[in-house]
Amino acid sequence: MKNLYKLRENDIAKIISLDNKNHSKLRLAEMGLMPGVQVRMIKKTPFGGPVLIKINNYYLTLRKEDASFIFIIGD
Amino acid sequence: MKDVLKVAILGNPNCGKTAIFNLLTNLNEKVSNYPGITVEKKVADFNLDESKKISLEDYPGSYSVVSQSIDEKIVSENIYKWIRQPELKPDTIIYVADANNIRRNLYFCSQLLELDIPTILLLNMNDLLINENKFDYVKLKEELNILNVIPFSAVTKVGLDELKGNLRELFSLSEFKKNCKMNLGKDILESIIPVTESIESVFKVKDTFKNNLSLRFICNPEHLDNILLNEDDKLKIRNSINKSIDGLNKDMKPLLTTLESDLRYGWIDEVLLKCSFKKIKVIEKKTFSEKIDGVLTHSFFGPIIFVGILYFIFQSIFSWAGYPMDLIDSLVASFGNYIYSIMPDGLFRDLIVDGVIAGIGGIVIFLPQIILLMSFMTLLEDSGYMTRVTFMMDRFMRTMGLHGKSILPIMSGYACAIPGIISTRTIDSWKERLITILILPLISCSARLPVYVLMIGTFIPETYLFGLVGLQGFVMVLMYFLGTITAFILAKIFSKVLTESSNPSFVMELPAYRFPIFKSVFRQVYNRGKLFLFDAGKIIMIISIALWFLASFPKNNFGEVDISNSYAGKIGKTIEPVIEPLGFDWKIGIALITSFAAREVVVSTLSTIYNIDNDGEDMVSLKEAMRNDIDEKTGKKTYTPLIAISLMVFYVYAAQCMVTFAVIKTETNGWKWPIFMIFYMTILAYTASLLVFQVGKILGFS
Repeated sequence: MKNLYKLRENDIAKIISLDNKNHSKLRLAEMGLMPGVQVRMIKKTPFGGPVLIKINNYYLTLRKEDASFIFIIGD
Repeated sequence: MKDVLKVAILGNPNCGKTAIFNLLTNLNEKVSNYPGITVEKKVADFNLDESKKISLEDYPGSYSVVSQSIDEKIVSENIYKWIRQPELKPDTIIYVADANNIRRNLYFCSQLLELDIPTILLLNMNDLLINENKFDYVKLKEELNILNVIPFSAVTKVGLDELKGNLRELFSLSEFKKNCKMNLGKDILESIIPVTESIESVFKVKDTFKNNLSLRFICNPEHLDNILLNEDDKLKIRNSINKSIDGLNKDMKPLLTTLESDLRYGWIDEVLLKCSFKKIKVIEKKTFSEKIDGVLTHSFFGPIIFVGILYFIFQSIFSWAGYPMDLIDSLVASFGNYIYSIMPDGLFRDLIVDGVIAGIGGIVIFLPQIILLMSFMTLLEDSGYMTRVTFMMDRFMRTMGLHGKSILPIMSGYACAIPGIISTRTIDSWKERLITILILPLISCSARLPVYVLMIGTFIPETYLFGLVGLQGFVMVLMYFLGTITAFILAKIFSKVLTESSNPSFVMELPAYRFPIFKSVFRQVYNRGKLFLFDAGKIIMIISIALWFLASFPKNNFGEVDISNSYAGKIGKTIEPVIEPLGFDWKIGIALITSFAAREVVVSTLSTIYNIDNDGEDMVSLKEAMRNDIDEKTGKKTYTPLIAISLMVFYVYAAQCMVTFAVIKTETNGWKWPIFMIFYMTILAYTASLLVFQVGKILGFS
């Protein structure tokens, strides 16, 4: 399964699941990042830094640790 | 009819709560507290009309009652207080939502609606509402069964009159129809019965609210640790949770964490569907904000632009602030001389001129710099740029043992460590937050500046290095650099040594770029300036007067005082042996002691000492006095450039500002960390200063 961290800048995908290893699973769900939602990769910072994604119509930052435990399928 | 209406402003972060708070209170109210220091929330009392008094509370932004950061915990604690003691509930909640993000904003709102407090929903930033996000807000009011839903704009003030009208009516609200709430399905209700029973007995809540609250605790039992409850009650709820979970279907368990949020969004979607809200299916093309971000958060240009902005800010602080500072300086001096000339000779005149006026001057002189720095910071924050910096710098900051969100506190630290320490509350990882607090006092704050200015201006020659770089400016930059570099190195060391708990997540919403609202910026700068002037001012004032007393007594037979025999002189001489290896004499010793109150006191201390010593007609120029001071024992100059450098290095590192440590005590819940800091900073300061002076002497500097 592909994880969100692998998504390239500007590509769009759909979230299929959040692994329980994800530390901010609850907070992400509360912010609307849940299965079925479309996500676009806006910006990846170099050296394994955090990524910026867009869901619904707002932007969220995620660290590699969290993004790697969000699974997606291409759109 | 109520006498005072208690109104709470709540909502997600970055939706404009504070702007609305400022708009309503209109600057005429009395803001009783700096956000966070003691009462955790901002409270303002103001009159809507005559005899209609409102007590308005502005809470930190939250996404959910289930708190993640300290900021949110404050909100969450208050909410649970309202649940357990309904008499403390506010009369009204103004829930501020970003009109463009109504679905997510309704999440926290729907949790609050369950408390059955009359609610007004403001759809803020309505001026920026895009067509696709429009929906039937009148219908939303019916669906939620709340007081009102108002399209609002803090910029154009659309909706302000309607809001005020609603508030007026609330004074005589007779009947209140309960808010609409999410209802849980039968199958879920049956499986959580043990929890609903314990929740009912602990919180004294009923019906739908009881069920939904129970669900929250089953989904996230850790949430119990974040609320104030006695251990017996916690145990009772915990046991009932375990009982319920045991009875659950195995397939359910992994889904439990997000069950409340899944169901709640399901409910919100149902409500919004009836309000002809169009759920976003496809993410649209690049927005304007994204295009700006393409440049400002560019992997290469982004950091360069940030450094450029920093350079501009500090450049302007040092050059622009110089004019008002010189002006204040000379005004205070001539005012002192004027008072000196019109008042009758005597003790009282000395107290006023050498104690009070010198003290006030020592405070007011910092205002220009603090105001400038705070204005820049507020502009960067309000425009949305600071969150981008946080995002960009996170990788680097993590390498140094810090957090992306440590940037803002560190930048504030250049003005004053205290607002910096308070702003670490947004860092939701305790370890990184603690490290940020621990290193913050090493960042050269504006209180050190007068020490640097005095020492550099007096002892560092106005020459140019390689004919290009001014030596004085170079030494100044060096001092700032020294503090900053040491702060980062120590952060790295602390991150290796400390075993505090750390949260590896960093979920942050990036707001769209926004034009800062002038009034809001002005208000924040005004508050911080006022805080500095009065809170820090009081301390400086007291020290100044106490010092004047210590330096003016005991008088000799001729009614005169020889400073070296005064109380202050005796204290200075007692510690002289300890500080002699650093190159300091007893006069500096006195200044070091008074600096424990606040660093900037050093200048007024030295001027008091020299003025009393001089006992002349005029206030002497401190620079001249220090330069010409001759050591009685050796017959040589008391102070040299090397001593000046040694003293500055001491001030870069030393733990001197008591207020900082008092704030850290509150923020870290005890004396452990402040004491540790005083300890490590003192050792650092003494060793560094010793090295500078002794090695400097060996190398032949003087």
